[in-house]
Amino acid sequence: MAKPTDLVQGTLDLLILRTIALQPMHGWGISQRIQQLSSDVLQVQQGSLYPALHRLEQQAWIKSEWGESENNRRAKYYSLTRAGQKQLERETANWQRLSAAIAQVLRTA
Amino acid sequence: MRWLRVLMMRFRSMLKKQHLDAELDAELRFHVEREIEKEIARGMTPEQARYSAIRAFGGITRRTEDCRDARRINWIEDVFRDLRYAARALRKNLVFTAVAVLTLGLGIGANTAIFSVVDAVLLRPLPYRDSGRIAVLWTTHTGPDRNFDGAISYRDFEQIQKQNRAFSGLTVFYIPGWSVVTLTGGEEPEKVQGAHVSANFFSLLGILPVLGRAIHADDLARGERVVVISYALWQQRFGGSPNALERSLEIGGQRWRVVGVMPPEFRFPFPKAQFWAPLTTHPDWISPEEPDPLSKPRWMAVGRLKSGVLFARAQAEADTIASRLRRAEPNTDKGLGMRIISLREHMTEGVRRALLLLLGAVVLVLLVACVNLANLSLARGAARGHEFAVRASLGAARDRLVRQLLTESCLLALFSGVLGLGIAAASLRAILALAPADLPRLDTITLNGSVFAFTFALSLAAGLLFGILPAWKSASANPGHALQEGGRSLSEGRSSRRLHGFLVTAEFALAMVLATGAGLLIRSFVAVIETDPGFRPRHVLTVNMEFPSEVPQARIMAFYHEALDRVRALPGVTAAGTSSHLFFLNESRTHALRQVEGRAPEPPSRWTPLVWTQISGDYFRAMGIPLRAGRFFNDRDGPNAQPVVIVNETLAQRYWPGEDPVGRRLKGFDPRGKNDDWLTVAGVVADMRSHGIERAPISQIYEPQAQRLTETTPNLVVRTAGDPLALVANLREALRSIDKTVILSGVSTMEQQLGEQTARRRFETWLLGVFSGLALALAAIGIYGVMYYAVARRTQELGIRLALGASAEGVVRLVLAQGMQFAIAGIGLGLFSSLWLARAMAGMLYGITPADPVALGSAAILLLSISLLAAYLPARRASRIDPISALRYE
Repeated sequence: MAKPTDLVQGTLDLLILRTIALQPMHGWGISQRIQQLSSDVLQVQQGSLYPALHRLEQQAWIKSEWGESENNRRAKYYSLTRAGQKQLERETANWQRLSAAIAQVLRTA
Repeated sequence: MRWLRVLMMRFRSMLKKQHLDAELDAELRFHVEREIEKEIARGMTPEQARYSAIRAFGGITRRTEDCRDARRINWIEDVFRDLRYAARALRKNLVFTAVAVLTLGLGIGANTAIFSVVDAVLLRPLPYRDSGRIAVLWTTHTGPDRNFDGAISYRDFEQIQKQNRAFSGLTVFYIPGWSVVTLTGGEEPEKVQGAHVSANFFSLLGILPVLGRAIHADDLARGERVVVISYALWQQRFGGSPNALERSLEIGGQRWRVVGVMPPEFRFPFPKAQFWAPLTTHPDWISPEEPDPLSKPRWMAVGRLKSGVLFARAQAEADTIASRLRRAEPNTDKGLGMRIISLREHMTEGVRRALLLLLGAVVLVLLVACVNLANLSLARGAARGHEFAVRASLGAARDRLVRQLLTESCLLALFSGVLGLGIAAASLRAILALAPADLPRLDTITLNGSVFAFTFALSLAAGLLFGILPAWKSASANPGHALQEGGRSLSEGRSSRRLHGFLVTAEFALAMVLATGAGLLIRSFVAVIETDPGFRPRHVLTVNMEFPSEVPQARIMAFYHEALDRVRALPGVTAAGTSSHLFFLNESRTHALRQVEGRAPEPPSRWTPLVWTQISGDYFRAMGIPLRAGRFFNDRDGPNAQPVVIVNETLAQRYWPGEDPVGRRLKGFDPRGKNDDWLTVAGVVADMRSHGIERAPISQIYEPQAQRLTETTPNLVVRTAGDPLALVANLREALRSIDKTVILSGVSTMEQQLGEQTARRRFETWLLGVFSGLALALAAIGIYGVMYYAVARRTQELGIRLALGASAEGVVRLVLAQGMQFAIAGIGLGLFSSLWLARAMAGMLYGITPADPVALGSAAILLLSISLLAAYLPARRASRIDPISALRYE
């Protein structure tokens, strides 16, 4: 397995938003899902996950709710707000534009 | 809509903090538990799993802090938390807080007091419309025919009005000496200063009266006897009642109609002006005593610059006009120059330097206080090292710690600021009482809004200044180190000692500069006090006797003659005389004798001030001026006898150096006797410092009043056996019984008169002395504190030395030497800087050179002894250390 790459903060935000766009999730679930979806390439630094979640919540991109988890324990579930949905679309477009540009430079340079 | 949610989130973060913290705790705990489960599922033991999970997480507490930080976007919350924490920390160490607040409070208080003076006198704009544009046309004269500086003739004024482009308006008024009148119609006639002004005087200044109206052009055209009075006069003579406008004021026996009252702060153009009358009603205007009065320099002009015109341009234009005037009127205007000075600058010229010096002094005092506090904080910070180490290891960012400590020092400083305001309010009264009476705008000095703002800003600045060093040092300390040593102290040893020492050096340097300044002023003041004024001022009373202008000369002469007889008969009087002038404080003209028998006339380039004084009675004996040669005047020196004069030593030295002037003959500029007779020198008296106690004596000639019947001698001088003031009532009665129309004013002792001449110097010296004393005390406290902590910290080391056989005195000497070296370095540095200061102060000194060794030396010795004493006390404690308990101390 390749060494897990560290994630820059902005990218982490994008991944979080994308992950919970599919369905509301708690923090641990989000970290597992990201790892899973990226085939273990991306391992979220657990120390930066929760600050990121709280920051996103403060900015009202996501909202939280306490609910019952799979094993009947209380957990905090995060879901996307409408503003967050728009932010996700914007960030995704940005990312795609950015990565396309980088790829182009790498090809031709 | 998002911003609404954001706002709500912030409110929630602020209000429901505990709840949110509990939630966060639960959330993170959930995560860790799931992680543990995952590891167990992978095959680890529970302990391994727990360990691995927590390590992966990276330290729960740290992450909690991070989350809380993410939540806390609102910095106001931070500030409040820091403030609460700071207050708690200050309360815990009450002794330190009290000492610190007191120390800094004194420093801030002194600054506030002086700033309120500077604000009122120098900074605050004058109460006239757009006062920055108002300028004084100050004339200067060079050459021997100098007239009074500042004055112009009316003709010149008209020319200036016609030729100038820079001013939107010019107004003119008589110089102060020409606008003193007698107010009759009260219990006693009273001499009062007023102003005779031109038509646009009030409109140019933009000041409105509080009652009635101001002077108009019509009043001038008609030459009406109308007058606008001052607020004080209104209260005094009319009881402040509005029907004053229908009443009249009796001036010199004539009735003048009161048409307006000015506001209380209005003091223009003279500080003592009590009324304003039209220019054209001045007696010299209506019926002048001399031909062509308009060509005499009896007026002063003030103007308003057009907007957009710079002072430099107005000055250039004034120079041009002055040169034209010089060419046009070579007789009267030779050597004429004009300076355009802003009104505020003109008013504050004399005091600006002294006030700035005092301001500099209090800033130095504040710096000393700040350095003191920095030192104390550093020492205390060392004691709190444990606390900060724990916080740092728990993840507090360094800048948060710094912010916390700065909040503490700023809070402390704000408390000091409040105390400082109180101190300033209390001491302001004393300062005002001590201030010279001619300080401009003295009565507007108060603690107002800008003073409060200044104090607040200064307190914050002081808090940051003294807090930054200890804060940075505490926050950057190595936490592991502090935790290891049982948390008693931070990094020890030479570097910290050197830091403390450096601060002590700074303190002493600043205190030394202040002490030197004070020493120089004190020496100057002592020199002034000890200067022989040329007469004996103790037990001498003086009264000014004047008459309204209509009283004939003969009656005045008779009065003086009778007055002397009556006064000499009063009990307690040993001698009495009269004189035309007591002092010539503002004399700037240079003169010479027209002719001296047997000598060539003096070239104008060698002319110096020369004044004539008429005297009668026993003037010299009353003043205590000794006779050096020849004789005093006697009754035989009458109008038909040979004209005689008495000269002072300076004049004798000027014209007859090395010879006996008695019997020599001379002539003054005005003819005497029937045929421009020669005057014979009958005697020589000692020099009197009539030009001012700080200036050298000037050439002075005395002549008997009996031989100069056109002049009056209104100053009565009485020497008494006992307290002169006890005589005042009898004297007034005696004088008024001769002639009821006499106006008595200026009743004072000669000592009081001399005191007024030294008032300003006394003020500066006192204040600077107090401030430097303050700085000295603070520096002493500073070195005491540093030494105290130094000994406490090195208890173990010193105990070992004692145990190993060092003598008690040896230990004391060691500690003392190490402490004193910084003080001595500071004193040396201060000495060096004060040489530069002394040169800047040279204009304020008297009788000593700027590098006066006595002043510098005594300042240095004083500081050295204080530092020695302050350092010795804690050093002595070092010798008392019990080696055994010191070694046991862990």
